[in-house]
Amino acid sequence: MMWTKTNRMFEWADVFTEHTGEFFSLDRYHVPSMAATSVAMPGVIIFYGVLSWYFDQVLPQNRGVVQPWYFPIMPSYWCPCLSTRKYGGASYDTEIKQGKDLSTAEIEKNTILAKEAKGGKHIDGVRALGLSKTYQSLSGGSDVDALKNAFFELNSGQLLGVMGHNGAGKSTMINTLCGLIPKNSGTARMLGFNIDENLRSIRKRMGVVS
Amino acid sequence: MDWVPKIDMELQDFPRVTDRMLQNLDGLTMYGAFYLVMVPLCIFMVLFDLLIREKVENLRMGMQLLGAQDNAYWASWIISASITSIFLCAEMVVVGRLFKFEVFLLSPAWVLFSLLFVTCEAFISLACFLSIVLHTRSQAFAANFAIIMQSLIICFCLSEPTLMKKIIYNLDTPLWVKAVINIFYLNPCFTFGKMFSDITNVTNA
Repeated sequence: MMWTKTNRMFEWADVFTEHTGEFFSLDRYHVPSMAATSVAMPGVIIFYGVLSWYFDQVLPQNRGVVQPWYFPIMPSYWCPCLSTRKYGGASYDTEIKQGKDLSTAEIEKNTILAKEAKGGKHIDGVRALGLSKTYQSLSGGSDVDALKNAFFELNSGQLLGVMGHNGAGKSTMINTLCGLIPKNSGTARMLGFNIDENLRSIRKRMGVVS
Repeated sequence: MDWVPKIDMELQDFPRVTDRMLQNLDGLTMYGAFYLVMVPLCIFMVLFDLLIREKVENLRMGMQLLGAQDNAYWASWIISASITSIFLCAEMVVVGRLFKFEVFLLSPAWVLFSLLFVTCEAFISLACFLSIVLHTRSQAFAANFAIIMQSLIICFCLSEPTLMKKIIYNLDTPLWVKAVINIFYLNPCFTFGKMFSDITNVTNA
C-alpha cells in the first residue's frame, strides 16, 4: 500500500482511533486503539515489579536468609517497629552431657544451655545455639559439615578471636550469623533479637568488615 | 555498385516504469520497530548484565551488611537506568528528526519519546525481575539472548499490518489462541510494536 500515500500528522484523536474491518476470507479483525494498548505497558511494569519484590524476599540467593512465602501478610514485615525481641527460633540440641572429661566446647554448651534453662534468654551480645550448616554436594559426593552444633556466647564489651584452618567453618559461622547463608539448624540471638525472625532489626544494629 | 545499403538506427533506453511497490518506500516505517527497539533492548541488556554480575559476586549482600537498604539498592539502579533511558530516547528522537524520517517529522516528539521511555521502563522492570530469579551468568546470558530474539520476532510480526490483523487481532480465531497471544504482552516489545504500528499507520498510510 505504499504507493497510496496519504501522510499526515499524527494527532491526539488518533490515539483513540480503533480499526475494524474484514478480510477477503471473511475473517474479521478489530485493532484496539493506541490508548487501549498503552494500558498494557504500566501493567507489565507493575506486574514485574510486584514479582521482583516478592521473589527478592523468598529466594535465598538474593539476600541469604529469606522471608517465609507468606511474608506479605506478616504485620512485622510492613512495620518493623512491631518486630519485638523474640526468643524463639529453630530447634537445637538441648542435651546436657555429664562427666568429667568434657571438652571445652561441651562445657561452653552446658553453660549456655543452663542459662537458657534458667530463663536468661536476653543477651546484649551474641549467643549461638547449636548453629549448623551443611553444604550439600550436587555432584553426588559426600556432604560437608562446615558448622556443626556450635554453641558460644559473647557478651557486650567482650572480644572474641576465632582461629581455625582452611575449611574449619570460620567464614560460614560469620555468614550464618549475618544471614548471608541460610543455616540448617540451630539459632542465634544478637542484642536480644533472633536471627530467624528479626534479621532486619539485627542488620540495622550490626557492622561487618571483611 | 555505387549504391550502398544504409540502415538507419536509433538507440534509446528501454522505457523505465516507476516501481509502484518501491515508490515512496520508507524503510523506517516498514521496519522502524527493529531500529527503535534497540534503545530499550540496550538498556535491558546492560542493566541485566550489571545486576546479575553484582549478584554473582555477592556485592549486593556485602552492601546489605554494610547497611545498604534494599529500597536504596533498587532505587539507585532504577534511577540510573531511567536517566540513561531519558538520554537515549531523546537522542533517538533528535536523530530521527535530523535525518528527516517521516515518522519522526509527522508525529509529535513527545509521543515517540514517551513510547520509547515507557518501553525502557518496562524493560528495566523485566531486567530486575530476571536478575532476581536467575542466579548464574550463564543463565543470564541465555535469558538475555532469548528475550532479544523474542523481541525481534515480535517486532517483525507487528511491523506488518496485515499479519498483525490476521493473526493477532483476528476476531474469528479460537479462544485459546487469543489466550496464548495475551502471553506476549509480558514482553514489552509487543506493546511497543503495536503502538509504533499505530503511529506509522497514520504518518505513512
